Formats: sequence, C-alpha cells, structure tokens
Amino acid sequence: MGVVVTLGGLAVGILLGIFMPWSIPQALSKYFAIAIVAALDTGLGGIRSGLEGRFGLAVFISGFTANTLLAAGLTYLGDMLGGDLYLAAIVVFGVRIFENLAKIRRLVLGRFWSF
Amino acid sequence: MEKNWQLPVSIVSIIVGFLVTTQIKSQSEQRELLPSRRLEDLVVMLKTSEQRNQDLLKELSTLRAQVKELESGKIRLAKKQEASLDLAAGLSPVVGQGLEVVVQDSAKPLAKGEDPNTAIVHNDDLLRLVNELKAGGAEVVAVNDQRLIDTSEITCAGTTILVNKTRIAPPFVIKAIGDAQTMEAALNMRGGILEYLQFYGIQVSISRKSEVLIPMYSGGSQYKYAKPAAPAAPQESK
Repeated sequence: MGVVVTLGGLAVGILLGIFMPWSIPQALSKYFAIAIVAALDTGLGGIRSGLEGRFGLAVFISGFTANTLLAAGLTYLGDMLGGDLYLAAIVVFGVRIFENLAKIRRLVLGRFWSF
Repeated sequence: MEKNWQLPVSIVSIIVGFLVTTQIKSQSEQRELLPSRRLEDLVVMLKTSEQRNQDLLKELSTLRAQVKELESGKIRLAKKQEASLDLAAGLSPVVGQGLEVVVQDSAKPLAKGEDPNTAIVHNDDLLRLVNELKAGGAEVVAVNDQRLIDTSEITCAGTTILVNKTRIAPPFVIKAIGDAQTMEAALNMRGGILEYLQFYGIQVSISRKSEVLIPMYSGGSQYKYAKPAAPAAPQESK
C-alpha cells in the first residue's frame, strides 16, 4: 500500500515537472543532479523504514535536509577546489539506493510470497 | 506508526519526480542550444567553421573579381589611381625584388632542465622580424602568404599563430619586397634580431630573390567603425 502511494506521489511530481514552465540554469544543473540523487536516496530510505515499521519523522526530515545540503555543499567545495568531489556523494548515494531497493524488494516480496 | 510514514515519503517522492523532470527538460533544452561540449565535437565544429570560412573567402574573391570586371568596364579614367590604391591596400598581388626568410623551430635536442618554450618560434619573433624588415625598407610583407596590411595582426592563439585571423604553422616563410641588401643588413645587424633568434637555436635562413610574389589580402572589408571624415583644414603657416 505504502509503496503504491509513494509511486503515485512520484507520478504527480513528474506531471508537475512536465507542466511547469521552469527550467534549471546550466550552472546549477550539477547541484540539481546531486540533489535528485540525495532526495531519491532519502525517499527510498523512508519507504524501507516505513515497511520495516521503524519510521521516524524527525529522522526522515533531518536526513533529507542534511543529505541534500551536504551533497550540494560537497559539490560546491569541489567546484572551488577544482576536483570532482561530487562523485563521492554520487557513489555513496548510489550504493545506498541499491541497498535500500534490495531491502524494499525483500520486504515487499515477503509480504506477497512466503517461500 | 504504520500509516504516518506514507505522507512525508510521498511528499519527498513528489519532489523527486518534479526535480527529475525539470532537470531532464532543461538538460535537453541546453543540449539543443549547445549540441555538445566535448572536445572532439568542438574540433569538428572548428573544422567545419574553418571550411566555411575558406568557402566564403573563395566566394569573396570571385565576387571581388566580378566587381573589378564591372568597374573596368565603367571607369577607365581612375584605373591608374585605383591600381596604386589597391597596391597600398593589399588588394592586388605584387611582385618585386626582395627577401625570403624561412623561420623554423630549434632542431637542437633540449638540454636537461631547458625550457622547451625557448626552442619554438613565437609570434613575438615573427613580429620583430617583420618590424625589422619594415625598418629596412620593406614595402610589402607577407607571412606564410598572408599579406600584411594596416589591420593585420600577428598573435598567439594557443599553440598556433594567427595572421589575418588565419592560423599559420611552421615553417614560417616571411616574404618581403624592398631593397634586398638593406633588409638583409637590417636583419643581420649586430645584436639584432637574427643574433637573438640564433641564441635560442631558432633556424633562420635568408635568401635574396630577384622576384618575390606576394598574393593579395584575402580577408574581407576592414572598416566597420571608421568612416572617412572631412580632411583637416590645411594649417596656415605664419
């Protein structure tokens, strides 16, 4: 049920994005990319903890803001230093996204099939 | 506990969806604006624009020939004056006695710790050679067949040298029409440019020619901002 609701939220967001006339300036696109990955990671983490029944609102919100800001800050620092520091954030979030997805898959599968 | 995680997570997923689509949209917009910024593509873009430049120059010369034809049909009186103006403006090829100076990078192997920058020909070197030739009485000068006119530049653009906005590459051949003996003497002056270049191992060979052919200036119209003004009134002598 919860997964369906979040997928619905994703669809609403996509529709909003399609019909909004805004676009992101080139200079900020790197930051937005990293913010997307951070938000994706937080969202999947939220689903997972929700399915596991140990969801905490404060943890969720603080994780979302802290992750996004840290990722953007790291990107900015990388730009200042002339190194691709944002790759570190991409790798960490990428790994966590896979982990969270694997956990969610197991939890959801466990609900419908119990082999 | 079970229910209240769905709302915040849904909000976050709305944000994710929104960000993803806006990002994809603006990325594809930018891709249309700037097809690609990769080095290989930029090289191709440079090549094609250079090719186009060449084509336009060709067109320009045929059009200029047509203009000449039409003019010669119309005006014969001003012909002689035009010829001398064309000569001064670099709009006709010229021939005469003069020098041919070939300049090449140093062939000596670099000693340890030696700056490789000193072994290559720079735009400054060409500029000084040309200046020396002019000081020695050169009337018309060309570098790699780029006729030097009043607006011609000899600049450095990355690893190449630009003359008349055209890239030139070694060996640099400077042709100068004028009194060959004086110009050669000007170059060979003690403590002069030739000695300076030879110190750095730059290879310079000078040959006198009884007939040096310098092509016409191939660029377009030079004056966009400058307009002829009324000539200043002749100053009365006291």
